[in-house]
Amino acid sequence: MNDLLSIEDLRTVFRTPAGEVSAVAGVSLSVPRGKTLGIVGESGCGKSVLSLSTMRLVPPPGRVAAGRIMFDGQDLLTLPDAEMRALRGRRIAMIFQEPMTSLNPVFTVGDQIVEAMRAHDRDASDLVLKARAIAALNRVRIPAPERRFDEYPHQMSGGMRQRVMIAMALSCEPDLLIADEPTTALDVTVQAQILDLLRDLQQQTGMAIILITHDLGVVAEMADEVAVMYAGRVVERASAKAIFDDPQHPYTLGLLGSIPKLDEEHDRLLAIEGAVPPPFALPTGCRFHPRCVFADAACKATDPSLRRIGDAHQVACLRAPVETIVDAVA
Amino acid sequence: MSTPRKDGLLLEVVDLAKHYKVNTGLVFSRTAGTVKAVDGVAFQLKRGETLALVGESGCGKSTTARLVLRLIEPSAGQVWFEGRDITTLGGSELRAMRRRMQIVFQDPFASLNPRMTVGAILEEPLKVHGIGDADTRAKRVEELLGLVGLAPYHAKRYPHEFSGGQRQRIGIARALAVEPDLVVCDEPVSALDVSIQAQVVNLLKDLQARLGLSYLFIAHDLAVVKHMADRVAVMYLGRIVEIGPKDAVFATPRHPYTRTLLSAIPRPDPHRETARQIPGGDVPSPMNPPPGCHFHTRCAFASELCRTQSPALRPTDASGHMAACHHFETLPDVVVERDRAQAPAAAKRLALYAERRARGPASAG
Repeated sequence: MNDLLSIEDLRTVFRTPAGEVSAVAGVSLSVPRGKTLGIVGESGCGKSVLSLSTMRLVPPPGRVAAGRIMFDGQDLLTLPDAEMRALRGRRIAMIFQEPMTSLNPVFTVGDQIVEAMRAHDRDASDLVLKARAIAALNRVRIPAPERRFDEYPHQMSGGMRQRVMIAMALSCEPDLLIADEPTTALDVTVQAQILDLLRDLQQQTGMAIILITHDLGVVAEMADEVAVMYAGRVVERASAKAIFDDPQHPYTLGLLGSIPKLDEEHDRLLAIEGAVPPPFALPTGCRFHPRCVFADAACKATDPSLRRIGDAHQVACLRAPVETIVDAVA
Repeated sequence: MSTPRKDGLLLEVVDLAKHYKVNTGLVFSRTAGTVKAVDGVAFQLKRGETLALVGESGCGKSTTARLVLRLIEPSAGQVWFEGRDITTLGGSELRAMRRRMQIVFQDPFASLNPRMTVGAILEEPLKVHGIGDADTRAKRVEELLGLVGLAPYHAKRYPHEFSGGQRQRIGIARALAVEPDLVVCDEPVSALDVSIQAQVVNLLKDLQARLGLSYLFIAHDLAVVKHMADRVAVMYLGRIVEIGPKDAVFATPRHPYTRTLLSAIPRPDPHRETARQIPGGDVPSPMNPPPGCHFHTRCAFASELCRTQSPALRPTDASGHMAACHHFETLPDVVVERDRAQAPAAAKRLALYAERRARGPASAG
């Protein structure tokens, strides 16, 4: 296997007054080296908890209850804390949606980048680390990096701050970058700059990226493979091209139909009715069936598991492909 | 003063400006500069029409929306609503006018009072404007909930019991309570998931068709704008740089900034080769905008003229399509990228999906 990361049957639960609920309910995924996996789904579908689980950063009262997270041959879930800490940041790095709140306002951005480098390299001199930090800022195309090094986060725009976060995340040349909605808070032109930057950096360094987003446009531009998540499960997995050209799951169809297109003129968008059920009030059977236009009695009763329908294309739907069932319904 | 009212015209904004003084120093405060948040904006809105104001953060679109409602006082300019300049109105006259113009806010989590039931939230504008008695107001609340696709029993619940999309429906119902003519929608869907966005966009369009509403639609998502608007105004650093009928602006964008915005949108097509030209750098600070054309620092076509002289909005054709660029006649023709036709399997399944949707959720059995 040439997968850098492979997640097997991961289950992350949260303790609530009403009992334990699964935010991630048996997810299996893999990311090959140098490739980008896009994870899409609505808010509350478990995509952020999945990424935090991978970093072993699930906040209490949550915990990873079952599964394996194989990273480069070792199971992250059984790693001692100290080893996990050494690995986190150095080999797996993460960037978040909010560049405003991810930086400490009372330290210069230079200090913060150096601090991150220092955590993994105790012996290097201050001067060496400063030079490396400036090189990192330069690499994310921040103009005048020597001057920016001594600036505070509030002196920078949102796009600049996200570049600083990326510089910090990449300062130790990680093998895997987890990017959780990295451009959602940014304007479109800045978003385009950041996506271009991530793509170029991936080509230079050969890192793998897990890109979490709700924007299918971003997925189409960035991802090699896509996992569509719904209510804590992966409901469809395929190459990015197959997700757009051969979408199988009704939820994927709903997401695709919801995007307003620039070229097409539709009177109405194909919205998905209703909302993602919270993990403590999941429906029986297929978790999507109350919102699904194709659902029948079997969908209410049976919870479908992922099945293979083509090369590297998996779907968790009893009725897919949907064109085969239409005639059966009068 | 004579009124600039024409047939069907609901709103006319003339040379609207909002300048904020920036002070520095705590004890010996002095004015360090002025932020021209809105700097000479003019547009018209007809009855039943949707005008979208688009642009990136800090371009002044939300300030413009608030000026139109006179939630903040303009530094200069007029806002004519049905032939009356609302910037000169005061007291009860202004309140009466506000009944005709309402706003839907971006954040459905912050714009509903968490300590009021949904019924009380919807009833409040009716009380403020002294409409009806308790009985008729209760009936109206029920009617409003139905209008936005919620159920009567929702009136007894509190905002935290609702999802983001449902909350935005409540925000819309509140705006519609007093039967306004103009609804200002300030980024009404940008905080919502794409599937929920589609529900709310559909709802706004349905309501417009049923009630003959006019929308001033503030957004940064051009794809949503394309879906909602009749006309589009693109703003950059406090000024309108391009305005015109939606189809003209999207098919033949004249201003380099509009072209930039259009090419920056990620398209949902993995086969597409990304070949876009995004200017480097960020939007300059509105406190210290570049002289001449504000966009010249990021523009590939900027000349000496652009660095010194601010371009005025000029008509590009007879359709009312205008652009503020010295060089729009000589810019290279824009190649508007067409999305590739959808793959047959995807198109077939989406059509089936649409067919089922039209039949209604009853088919779920």
